[in-house]
Amino acid sequence: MKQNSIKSITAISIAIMVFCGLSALLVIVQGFVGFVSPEQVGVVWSDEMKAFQLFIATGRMLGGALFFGLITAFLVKTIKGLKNGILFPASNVRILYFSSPVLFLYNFCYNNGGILTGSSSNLLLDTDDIAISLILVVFAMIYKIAVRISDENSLTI
Amino acid sequence: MSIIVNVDVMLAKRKMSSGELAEKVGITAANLSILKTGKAKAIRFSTLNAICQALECQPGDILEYKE
Repeated sequence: MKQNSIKSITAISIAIMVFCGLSALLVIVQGFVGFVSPEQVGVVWSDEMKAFQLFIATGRMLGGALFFGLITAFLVKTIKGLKNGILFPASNVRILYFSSPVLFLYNFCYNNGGILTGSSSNLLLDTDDIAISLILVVFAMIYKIAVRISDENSLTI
Repeated sequence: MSIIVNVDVMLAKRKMSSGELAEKVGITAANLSILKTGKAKAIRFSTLNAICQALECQPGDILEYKE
């Protein structure tokens, strides 16, 4: 692989990781502030929907942090792999598969944030969220094939 | 896999070392070891050609099918 390509991938990956780190921090802080002092962020706890509100708040905080963490892990493994001449690290397949439900959870909880503030009482299930999560599964399957082909290629004498 | 690589046998017949063969063929000793131990998934025609040339043998002398 060309050295320039490796440098470009590494630079873009680092930029994404910084962005993900900040996003994860924001999501965690938002969630934490919401739990500790709900009145400051306008969380309106409803007795009828408290369990669902807790699910939304927790899912948003943990799902977001976990998803950004998984992206960072994916990129770190990719950069490490490139340095060792491995284009498709096998461990990234598991990360991609796991990212799919986590992303769905995060998007679902994010889109239903209105339930926390009381601005909406209707459950919102966006088809885009399902599509993006399924695309991630397809990407993981393609990545798995790429890992196998890469392994075979490296064992071709 | 049922394809057996008999490079070791040919090396012994020709009284040639692995290092010498690797050098003649133009592959690394590590790759030759992968080939000898049967871990290789595929072999290029160019590599096979070079091995046959170096060992003065036929592809059938190096590769064998066993059920």
